[in-house]
Amino acid sequence: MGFKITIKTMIKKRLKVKRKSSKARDRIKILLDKDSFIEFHTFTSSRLVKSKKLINDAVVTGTGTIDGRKVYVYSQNFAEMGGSLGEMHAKKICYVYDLALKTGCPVISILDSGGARIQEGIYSLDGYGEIFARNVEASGKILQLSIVAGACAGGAAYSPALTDFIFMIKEQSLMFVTGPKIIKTVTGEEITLQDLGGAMAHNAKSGVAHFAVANEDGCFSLIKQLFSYLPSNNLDDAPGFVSRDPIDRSCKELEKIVPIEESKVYDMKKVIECIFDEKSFLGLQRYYARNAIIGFARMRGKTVGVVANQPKVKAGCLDIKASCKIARFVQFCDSFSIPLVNLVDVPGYLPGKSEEHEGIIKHGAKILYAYSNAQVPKIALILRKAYGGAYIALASKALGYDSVIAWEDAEIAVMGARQAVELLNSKEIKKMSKKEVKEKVKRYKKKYLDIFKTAETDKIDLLIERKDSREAIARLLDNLSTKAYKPTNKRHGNIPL
Amino acid sequence: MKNSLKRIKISDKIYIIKGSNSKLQVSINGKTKVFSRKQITDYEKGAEKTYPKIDEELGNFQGDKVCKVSEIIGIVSDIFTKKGQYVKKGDLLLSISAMKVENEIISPISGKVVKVYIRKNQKVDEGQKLISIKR
Repeated sequence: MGFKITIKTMIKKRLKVKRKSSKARDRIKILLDKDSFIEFHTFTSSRLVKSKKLINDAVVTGTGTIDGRKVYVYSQNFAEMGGSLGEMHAKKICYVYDLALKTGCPVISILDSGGARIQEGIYSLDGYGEIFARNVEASGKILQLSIVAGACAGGAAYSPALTDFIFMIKEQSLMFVTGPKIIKTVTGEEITLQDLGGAMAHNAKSGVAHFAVANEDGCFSLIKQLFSYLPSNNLDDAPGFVSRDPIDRSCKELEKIVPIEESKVYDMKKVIECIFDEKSFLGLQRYYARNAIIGFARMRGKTVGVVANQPKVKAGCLDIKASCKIARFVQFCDSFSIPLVNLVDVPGYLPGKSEEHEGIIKHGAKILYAYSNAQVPKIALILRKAYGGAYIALASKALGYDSVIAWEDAEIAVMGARQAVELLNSKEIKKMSKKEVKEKVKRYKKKYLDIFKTAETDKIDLLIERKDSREAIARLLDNLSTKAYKPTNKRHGNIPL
Repeated sequence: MKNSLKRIKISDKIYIIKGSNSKLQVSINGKTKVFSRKQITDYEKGAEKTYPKIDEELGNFQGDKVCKVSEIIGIVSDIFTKKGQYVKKGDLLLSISAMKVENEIISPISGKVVKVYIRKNQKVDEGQKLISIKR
């Protein structure tokens, strides 16, 4: 494109400096389609700080395309005054956000900044406020993706937190509100930068980030991969793909993958890979609350949000972390019209003193709220078991699931058979022999846990054999694809945050 | 630009694919969607591309010594290793009975079992040390 070269010469003429190649601009060029980038505000500079180093006010903003789809980007430049955010820096970002909101295009931010520019005082703090407000306004309207490419400290860390997905690069990305030095003076705790706010700290411990990637190139290819699953805004459809995987492919492997003995564990990922289009699953937050799996997959080429329990970790129970992880994901899928499929094999909410005191009631309620509130097509497949409150959250018709499917050997109950027998016969059980207890459990199971008994009610819409899982889900999704939204006149609910 | 037209029948559905060098128009039972060539090739590439494999379960252990801790409150139902025994990465070390399920504890590294902190049928808390292994 012609006008790009003129800008280069203009800068040389006007500012008497040569525009050096900057990392910030290079990153955008790698991310976007070749030659698609148009840069805005090349001459904008700070009103308050005059420096030859500060050519673009430490941020490169513009628009371009990824896989032919329009996106807006901004990339902070650490080489210019530590990528610090000043008044004009913020204004440039706000301009990009405003355009993106008007046009319904995603915003991708590449963050690499030391924080607020101290010399600009309140103007730089005000700038953060402006950005946060736009983050919030854009939330649920347009897609917002953040790449933490370097440091992201102090108040700056809240901007990515308000966006939909955060990518972090191992040994490179850092995010924290207060750094190790301040922590040491205040609490005396000693910790390294990476341990405090590195990629793995936020992927495994805090759950702030959604992806940990080995290097920048990997990060950009992953962001493109994620983008291919998602619509640009809440009114668009996600891009469809041609799937070569037949809809009625029989999932015979499931008989091997999922053991019949309910006490044996297995890897739920294999089940997901078997049911959805071949190699289409992309997991999110893979290191955090591993007892729950969330991610996007495709069914006949269309994007589906998958929520599943992972029996291999913590028996696949729901705890505080897993509840928060699932609830946020459901909220995302609902705002961007992505249908939800639950693969349920859950023993219940995790009991325990610490869980109760940290608020499992409040956090567990988030799942109930998010699912009940979600108006996208919701399908639940019960694999082996769904007990107690977790059944209500993940697979109950009462909560508004459009279709509940169960395998022919699934169990739905308030609790497991053994526990129920022990609770119901708490006085007699001490006198009973092991054999008698076993017999009683067996009888209880036959009486209360038989899925055909459950299927006599209207709580299960479809009983299937394991091998038909893919076909059943695919056909039901197709059926539900025209599900309409109920308009509501309430401002917004009060989710137990 | 060369235009070509192709009909494909898969099960009961007929797909009509019309293509030029840059655009591909697909009609399925009357519904039409246009894809750019790039979108399709990228998808195909994406499907085959293997993304950096992450050992999610075992994480990245850089040190030489690993101490496995329990992730859940439960009862140790079986221990499959002894002190001094050599184990391989991915070997089953012990199982904890919790939430109606036998939770398998798997070795994150290959090495020698240095210490076993628990006994069979013992109750373990979340975060309690189970076993340590040295490379």
